Amino acid sequence: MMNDIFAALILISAVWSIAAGRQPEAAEAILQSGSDVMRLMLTVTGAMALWSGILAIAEKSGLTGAAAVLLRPLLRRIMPGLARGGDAEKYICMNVVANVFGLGNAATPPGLKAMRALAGENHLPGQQPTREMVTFAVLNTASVQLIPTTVMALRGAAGSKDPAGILVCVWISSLSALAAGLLMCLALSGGKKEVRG
Amino acid sequence: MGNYFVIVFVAGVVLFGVVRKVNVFEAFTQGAKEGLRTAVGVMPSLTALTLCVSMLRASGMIEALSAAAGPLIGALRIPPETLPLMLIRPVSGSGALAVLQSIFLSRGPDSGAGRVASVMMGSTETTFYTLTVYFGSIGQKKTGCALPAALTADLTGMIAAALTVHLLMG
Repeated sequence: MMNDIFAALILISAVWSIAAGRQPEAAEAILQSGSDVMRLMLTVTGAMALWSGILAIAEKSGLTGAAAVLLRPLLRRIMPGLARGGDAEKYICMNVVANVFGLGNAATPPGLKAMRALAGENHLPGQQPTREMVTFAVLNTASVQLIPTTVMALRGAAGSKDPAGILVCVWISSLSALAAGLLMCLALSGGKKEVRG
Repeated sequence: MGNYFVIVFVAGVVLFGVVRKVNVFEAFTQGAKEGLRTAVGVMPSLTALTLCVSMLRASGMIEALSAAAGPLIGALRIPPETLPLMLIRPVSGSGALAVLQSIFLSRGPDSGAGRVASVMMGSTETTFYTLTVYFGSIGQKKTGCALPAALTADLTGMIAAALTVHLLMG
């Protein structure tokens, strides 16, 4: 898919810029974009290193484990079919905690293990996913995070007077997104048995 | 509030580590090394998508697109400049990052568009990529209602981003 998007964006932009008579701007954009990437990378790399460092302290000290215990009741509520105390539950907690810390990349390894464990608990016929599998995937696409680390770092680097000023808006928006996703899921699956797990 | 939270969060994590007798410096540097590796891994796709976004912006097409869709999304208080971000966000994280940066550079991070784009970026995910990786890793072809639900979540997050910035950050 990225193959098509990359090619389409380049070709469409090239044709449009020539048709609109903006060749100088487009040519300059091409020549300039390499150094733009380096500027972007300076910020992104530094932020990722910093927050991964903080998360590593939280992991070593058992803080993420404690957070996972706090999360468990909530998870059992939105995933009622989850086997209590199983592998899936453990990995889901780890995944959600990493997401909440704003580290999507650190969340992926336990997330994939959780999917595998959920698939092991799946006894539905005909390749149907369980409701827990779908809910967990939607949870990961809603990006519930306490600290949007990359965005805040970029805001700071771009000269924002209040890089963290967006936090409350981010919390409200991502929770609304999650709620809407879960409701949509419920509405679409209705009372059908196969999605109950 | 955001500033207090960031300070307390970082200090709290370090304090917890010290209380639990963790070598916090060593843990931090180990984690940072991991983070550096991840960032370098993102760089090639970021280079590709920055090229796309730069060309798209320079061609004038984004302005044309935004002008066309402006009245439609203006009713929801969504700044037209964030339209490209809304389109690319579910597909490519690097692409979204490139668009976000271009909005910051052209409008500033504290402009209306800059704020809404920040919140959109922070409250949504690379939906298609995430679903592909999560279901693909276990060879699960049927994904039930995951895609429509996840896209509903994204759209809701984006509309909420515009509304919360309008209401809370005026």
